[in-house]
Amino acid sequence: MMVKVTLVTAEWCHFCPTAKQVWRELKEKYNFEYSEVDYDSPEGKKLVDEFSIVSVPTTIIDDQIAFVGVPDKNKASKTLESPV
Amino acid sequence: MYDLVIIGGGPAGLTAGIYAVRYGLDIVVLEKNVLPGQIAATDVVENYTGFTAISGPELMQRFKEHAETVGVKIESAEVYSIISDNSKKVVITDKGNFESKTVIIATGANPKKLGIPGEKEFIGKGVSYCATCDAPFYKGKTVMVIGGGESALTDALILSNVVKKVYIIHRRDKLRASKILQERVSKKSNIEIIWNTIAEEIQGKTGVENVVLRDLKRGDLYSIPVDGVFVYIGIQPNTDFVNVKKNNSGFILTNEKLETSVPGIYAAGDCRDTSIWQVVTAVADGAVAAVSAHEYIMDLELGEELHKKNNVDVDNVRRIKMSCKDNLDGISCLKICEDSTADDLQPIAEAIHALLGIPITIRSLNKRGIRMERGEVVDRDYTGPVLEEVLRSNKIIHTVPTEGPYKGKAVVVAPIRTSEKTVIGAVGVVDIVAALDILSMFKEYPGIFDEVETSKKKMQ
Ligand SMILES: Cc1cc2nc3c(=O)[nH]c(=O)nc-3n(C[C@H](O)[C@H](O)[C@H](O)COP(=O)(O)OP(=O)(O)OC[C@H]3O[C@@H](n4cnc5c(N)ncnc54)[C@H](O)[C@@H]3O)c2cc1C
Repeated sequence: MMVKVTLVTAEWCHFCPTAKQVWRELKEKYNFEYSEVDYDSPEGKKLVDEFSIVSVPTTIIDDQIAFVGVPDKNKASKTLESPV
Repeated sequence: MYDLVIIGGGPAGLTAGIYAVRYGLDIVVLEKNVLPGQIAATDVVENYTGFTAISGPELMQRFKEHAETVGVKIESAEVYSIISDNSKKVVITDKGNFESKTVIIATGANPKKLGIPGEKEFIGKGVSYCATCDAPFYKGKTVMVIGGGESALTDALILSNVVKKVYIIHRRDKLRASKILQERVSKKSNIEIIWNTIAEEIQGKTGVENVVLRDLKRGDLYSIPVDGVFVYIGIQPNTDFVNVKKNNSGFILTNEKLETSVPGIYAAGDCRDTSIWQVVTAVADGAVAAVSAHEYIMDLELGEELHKKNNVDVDNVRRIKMSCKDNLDGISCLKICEDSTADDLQPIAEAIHALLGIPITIRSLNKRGIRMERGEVVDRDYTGPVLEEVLRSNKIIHTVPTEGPYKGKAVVVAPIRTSEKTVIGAVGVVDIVAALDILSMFKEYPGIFDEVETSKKKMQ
């Protein structure tokens, strides 16, 4: 099954662009399902409640909070085993 | 090869870039974040001259625009280490290596951690270091701010507009923050300051629920239920990756030119040991560091010429300059040879003078330390035997003569051109008292301080 990565971000959050860049760069190398969700959107609100998110950026991988803050590039790539 | 690599694209790094470009240096700024600078994390800056109030991200955006407009090249890269090899530095990054003549470290800082149980476990689950980032998640909740400085109060105020209640925990009975912030805090009915108290543990099941506090006056422990903890107990410099002298907290030690302990490497802004860490001081540092880097590059070029034309070991000349600093009494160009004139030293002396910018005297002496001038015996000089040792070992030698013209001074002799029979040494002479002042500069000559101390005692 393909790994599913969801990045929860906010408009005001200054670390979010870096977190987006990390995942977008990885997306070019690895094959995984990726989406960016604003915390204020309906989908975002659902995730905030479901995972008790209190910080952005937060990365959810396969129904678990995997990273809070900007993910470490090496750790992030380790979670995505199958390169394109 | 670049003239200058600047590590960090915050206020210090970008300002260094702007100055360096104006000096015509070939530079690059390496920055790991898409939005650089700690100040991007704050909602409003009210103490940067020229702006009564400006948002942190906007100020940072202006710095960036200014830098890019004048031609500062910013590349996305995270620096892992610097290898320093005399006149060349190699900056190792996730995007490859960058070679440069000089480096400015402007990597800033990150919030310092409390280091108490529960802190690490609950990062992102109730423990935060950034109110502007996370405040909206605490709407109507109770939070705790730990610290009593500018950042603590600023962020307590931000939180107070969103949450139900803010506790400020401070270990003293007075705040360090500016009066203006203290007044604003005292006007907020939902901020309560708990004095003389430290946090000992953060507790909870899946997120923060309680903080265990210790009252330092009474000594007792108690806990307060909160949903979030915001930590502002100072900053931790991002300097692990670089091998230069630092203080105990990791801040890089510099002199007034922002030189570090490694020639050609400079530090600017929040990453260095200084008295205040602000945008206005970071940008000032950036300018100073860039000018110093420029000077160093000019020296390098002069040095290369000196080396090419006269076969002089320029690094040793430079080391003399570094170690003696402004306390240098003078420099002599000496040559060991029997009964000859020292006229051939003239061009070398002139070139060294151009490099060091200080007067140089020329002398020749024979091996017994008899000073000759134009073939004539002048007098005895302690430097004869020292020069001979230099000739033998081809190393920098230091000494504190107990007699002769340099009695009571600290003397450093470095070989700058040696052949089988002759040695030309640069002799730096430093006042002993001054030598003690510039102790740190002499660290590469172990032992000299014992000598200096003994000699000083003898004189008294
Ligand atoms: C919440 C908060 C509020 C503040 N409020 C004020 C205020 O009101 N007024 C004021 O004057 N100051 C304020 N400050 C302080 C101010 O932000 C800093 O003094 C200033 O940003 C220091 O600038 P700098 O360039 O030295 O470092 P930074 O701004 O920290 O920039 C350093 C840069 O280097 C990058 N970097 C670090 N390591 C590496 C690496 N290995 N490779 C590549 N890049 C790297 C970082 O990503 C960062 O962008 C505040 C700070 C905070 C945290």
